[in-house]
This record gives sequence, structure tokens and C-alpha cells, in this order.
Amino acid sequence: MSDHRVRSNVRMDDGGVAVVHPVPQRDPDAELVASLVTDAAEGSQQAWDGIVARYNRLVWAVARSFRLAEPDAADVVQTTWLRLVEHLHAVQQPERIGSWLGTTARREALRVARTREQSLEQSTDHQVTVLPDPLPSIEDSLLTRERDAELYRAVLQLNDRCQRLLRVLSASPPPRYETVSEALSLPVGSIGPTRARCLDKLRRVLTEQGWFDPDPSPGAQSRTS
Amino acid sequence: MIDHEVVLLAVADIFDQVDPPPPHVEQAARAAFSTRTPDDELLPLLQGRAVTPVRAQPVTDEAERWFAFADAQLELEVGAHRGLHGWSLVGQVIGPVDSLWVQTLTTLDRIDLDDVGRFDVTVSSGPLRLKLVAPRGRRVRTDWLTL
Repeated sequence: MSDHRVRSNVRMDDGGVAVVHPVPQRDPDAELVASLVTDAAEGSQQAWDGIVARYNRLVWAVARSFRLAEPDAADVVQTTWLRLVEHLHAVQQPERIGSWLGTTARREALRVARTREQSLEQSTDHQVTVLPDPLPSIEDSLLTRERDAELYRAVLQLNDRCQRLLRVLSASPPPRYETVSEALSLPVGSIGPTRARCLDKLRRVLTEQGWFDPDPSPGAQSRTS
Repeated sequence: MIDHEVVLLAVADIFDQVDPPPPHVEQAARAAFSTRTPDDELLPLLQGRAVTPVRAQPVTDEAERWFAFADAQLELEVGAHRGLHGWSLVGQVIGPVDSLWVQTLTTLDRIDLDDVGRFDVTVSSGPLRLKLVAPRGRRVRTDWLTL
């Protein structure tokens, strides 16, 4: 997931001594993203569709990870894409467009979340305010396989921080840590350890539910395999 | 020991099943490209805030917002109030302007201005922006706002 990988480039200096020059590693993925952004800025709808196909799930995941109801999340996603359309020609680092989208979606989601909190504070004792469910309940999730329902139940037991991180990390295609960092305003260096802690918690819950053998022998199979 | 990647893949599969982006969201994202206006100038947002009104009736949701945009030649102030039939936008343009428009993802409608640049229009919830055409064809737009 590192964005600063280097490879060695060994050359001989004038005295015939081998000198290692680090050179940036070519990143085909970044090059593809950059070319999509450049082409879209020049007016290519096809390139734009490529950007949407690549990042819409990430933007949706960021919006929903802030516990916004579906209509609010849809507005956040739409506003994020509209903003990108207008700023395409000014993008300085097109290969980092995922981070830009994540940041924009986070800011917009936070703005909407704050206004929803304000509206709750303004409600009176005479009102019963029902918070929208950020995610479908187990009953509404339409998960037909019991093991999927168990996993979903386990995810819902995680704290907000873990749910948010796993939600964004599991977007398709998997986002870079740099993008996750921007989208959730987390230091890049904290993402790996936090991810590990959250997945450990999830695994413990699943183990309690009998998903995994708590003391597996080598080659033990999980129920997901 | 079950690999974290296996668990994360299973979680990703669950989110894909229970909460994928609705199809209309992706369609709107693709359609957003048709709103592209790279030649228009952006009217900078000076201030924007939600207003907490004092009311006899309890406020059930974000009810009022206020925005101010300006550059060296134009000022635009907009108050947005949520009513029964959408958002009422009330505001004023200060400076030379030939026409004012409100744009959503699918519509572009002209707004009537009175002699001193005031306007009052009702719009639906969702992203919108205002566009102004100034004398000599200068075109100015606000960034997208979500009401």
C-alpha cells in the first residue's frame, strides 16, 4: 500500500565503482488514474465514467461511514462528483484524485452530519426523534445465508471507528492507505495498526460465534473458505 | 490463524450485499459530467452557515442556511429557508448582472431579479448552484451547494 516504493538502479561511476541510485518505481495504477483525470479534463465522458466506476464505491462508503441516512449520503456523493467536475481542470496531482474525492466526501458528510445533530439538539421533549439507521438492520439486510448474517451482526458490534475504517478499506477496488488517510482524517501510519486491531476484534466476535476454531491446527479451514 | 485479508474480503462482500451504492447514485455521478463549465469563473464563497431560528414551533430539521459569495465585481447573498414545498431561496445580487440562473443536475432555470437585484425562488432539496451572466458576456458561477 506504500506510495513511495523505490527500486534500485545500479550504475558504474567514473572510477568503475557500482553506485546505487534509487529511482521512483513506476506505478501503472497511478498512471492509469492520472490519464483518466487528464482525459476527463479535456472533455472525455468515457474517461469520466472510468473515474466514477473506480471511485464511486469509495465515495459512497465514506458518506455512509459517517452514519448518514441513504438520501443524505446520496446528496453527499452527488455533490462530491459535481465538485470534481468543476475542479477537473485545476487538479494538480491527477494520480491522487482518490484522496481528493475522499477528502471532499468527508468534509461534505461532516457538514451534513453536523446539521443533523443540530436539528436533534433543537428538538423538544414533545417530539420523538427517530435517528435514521445508517445501515440496514439484520432483518432488513436481505442476507439469506446464515453465515453472512452472523458476520454482518459481528460487524455491527464493532465500535464506530472500526466500522468506519473497515467500511472504507473494503471499498472496491481497495483504496490506498493514503486515500483512506485523507478520507477519514487519520494518520497514514495509524491505519495498518488500527485495521489489525479492528479485524482482531471482529475475529474474536466471530470465534465466539463458532466461526473459527479458537486454537486452530495448521491447515484448519475457516467457514468462509 | 485466519488471515486478516480473508476477514476483510468477507466484510467487503457483506457491505456489497447490504449497502451498495444505489444505481441512481451512480447514474447521477456519470451525468454530473454534463454540467461541466470550465470557462465560467468561480464566485468565491465568503461565508456559509446554518441559521438557528427562534420559532414558536419546534424545528425538526436544518431549516435555514445563509451564504455570501463575492469577487471584485459582484456580490451575491442567499438565504435558504426550508418550507413545505422545498427550499425558498431569497437573496440579492449587488453589481452589474444581466441574468441569474439556478442549476441542478437536471435543470437550469432563470430567476427573475427586481430593480435592485433581489430574488425569491423555490427549489427542491439536493445539490444546486447559482450562475450569473454579467455584462459583456462574463459568466460566473457559485460552487455546488447541498440543500
